[in-house]
Amino acid sequence: MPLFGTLDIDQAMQTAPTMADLTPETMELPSATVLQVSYEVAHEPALTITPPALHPSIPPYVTFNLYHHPSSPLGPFDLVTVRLIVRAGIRPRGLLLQAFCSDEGATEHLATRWGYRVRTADITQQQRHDRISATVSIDGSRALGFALTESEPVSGGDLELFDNLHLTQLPDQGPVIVQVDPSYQYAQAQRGVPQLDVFDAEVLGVQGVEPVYPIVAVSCVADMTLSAPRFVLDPTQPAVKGTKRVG
Amino acid sequence: MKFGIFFELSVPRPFAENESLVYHNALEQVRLADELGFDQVWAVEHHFLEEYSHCSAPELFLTACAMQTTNIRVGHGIATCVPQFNNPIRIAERAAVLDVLSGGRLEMGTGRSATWTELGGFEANLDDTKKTWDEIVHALPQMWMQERYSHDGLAFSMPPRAVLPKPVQRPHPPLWVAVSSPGTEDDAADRGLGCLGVNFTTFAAQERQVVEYRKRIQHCEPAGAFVNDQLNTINFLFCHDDSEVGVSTGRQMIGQFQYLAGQLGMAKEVYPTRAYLTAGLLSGARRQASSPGDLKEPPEGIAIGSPDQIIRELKKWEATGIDRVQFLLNTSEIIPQQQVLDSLRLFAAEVMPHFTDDSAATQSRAKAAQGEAA
Repeated sequence: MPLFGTLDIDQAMQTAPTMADLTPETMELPSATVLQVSYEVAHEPALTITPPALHPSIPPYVTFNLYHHPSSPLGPFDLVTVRLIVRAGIRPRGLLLQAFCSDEGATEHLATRWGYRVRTADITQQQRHDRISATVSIDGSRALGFALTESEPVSGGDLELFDNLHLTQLPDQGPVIVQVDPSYQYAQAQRGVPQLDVFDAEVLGVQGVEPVYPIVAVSCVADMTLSAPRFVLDPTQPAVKGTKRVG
Repeated sequence: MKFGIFFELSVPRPFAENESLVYHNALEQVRLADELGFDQVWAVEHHFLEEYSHCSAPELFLTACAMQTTNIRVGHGIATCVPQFNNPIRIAERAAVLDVLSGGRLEMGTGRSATWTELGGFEANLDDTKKTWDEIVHALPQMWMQERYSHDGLAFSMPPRAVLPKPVQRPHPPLWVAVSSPGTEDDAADRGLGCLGVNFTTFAAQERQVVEYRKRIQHCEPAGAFVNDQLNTINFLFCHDDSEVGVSTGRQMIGQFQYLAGQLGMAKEVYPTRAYLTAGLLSGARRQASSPGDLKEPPEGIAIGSPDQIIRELKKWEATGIDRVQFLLNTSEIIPQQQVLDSLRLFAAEVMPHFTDDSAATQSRAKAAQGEAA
């Protein structure tokens, strides 16, 4: 049997968001720019931040994602996520470790309606012909900086952005992992060389993430849709046993 | 139709306790398969694939197989033709030694790997693997046939040298390519290579593949000195007198295999490139589950159950026109060794006698040839 994660769920729940319910209104996010930088991470620490419901991927890796939303029902905002790629049963998923949002209202909405573990931070994003980059600054100091360089066009169909898993709690159920499946209508996509310029795991609140090897960077412009969750997992049971369809 | 056995050599944790057991159980299965009249034993080449496959030096395992058997043919299923994994000269040398030691029993499967776990581990260029495989599969027979060989290419370059020893089989062992994603069967046909199916497919898909392959190979430009126009498909085997026991035990093995395969980082999922358009064998496995919690149904045509059930399924495969079926016998030792050996014995006694001729494959070749003539 593959390895399971060893995250202490009780401890993790102390800082987890609470979702109001599992029926958020569908959110249209047109013309989003998405940047995703993938890095392999150290194996042992990654296990300690993976819930017992999930397996680490072989090899374990994280994605640093920027979502630049020029318009949304919440107004324009930028979101940066740090995700650990895991397996729910045999399916690859992106377990959200921490998110950062440029707008306070959007931060509140993403946490309470979608289960994002998210805090407000200063986010910058730059798009040049040969480089797309993002930074996250907390309390005035830069904690994360990542980029795609040497870009070359690919097809949107070549991209695998994976659905998200959010460790959160529901008022009447306690700890759950909620699967949030954004859909993408791609307008353009590119691939390039990944760069991780700044990474402070402690300041970001993602202790256990130790990047060891660059994989790839991808970027796209897409119309995104966030739809109500379809699946909920018990964080303490193997996903093949503890997954429930809810939508 | 001919039957073979196929090894991933999957190892349950803890590895240190179980690796030796898995290897020696496999060798015992090979010895028995040889005695029972199985035609081939194949071994994969995989690296870093925890639990799923610990078969990183297949040339050594296959040599051990050859030295403990008399008739069974030994197949690289496959040797990875990516220069960062294997210097092509070393592939040619090791394969020739295996052919010599086995007395000319080598089947030479080729391929290019489909996981980021492996390709990333060797820092291979994912965009180039199809090109380098093509280059190497053309170079291998020349290294074996020419007294001295030189090469200048993308995958490797070398001044004139005698690549030694030469294989026993003349002009060279049969060449195959692993087919795990759509389109590779065309690559096989165009180069006159045997089609080593390593994906679990459906009857309908297999039938289409056979027709297209047979038609296309009529016009091939062989990579080697001759055309190997055989189609080999993969299956699971667990044969038991009690149908229920056979099916339930077989399903456990299949479920475990799919589960382990699902943990790997497939190239397509990790690194976007036109060189990997599907997730290989995982495409099929994941299609069978509609949600993360689903238990997966085995693919159709699987050789598990009673001898009669297995004969029925294999007759359907035979009717598609394939030449060979190779069986995975176990996964992570989920089936006790004695039961695996009993399953092989029962299959040989009750099922094999129903497949003594190759008329279906012959007819499918003839049909393709007639179609071309018309």
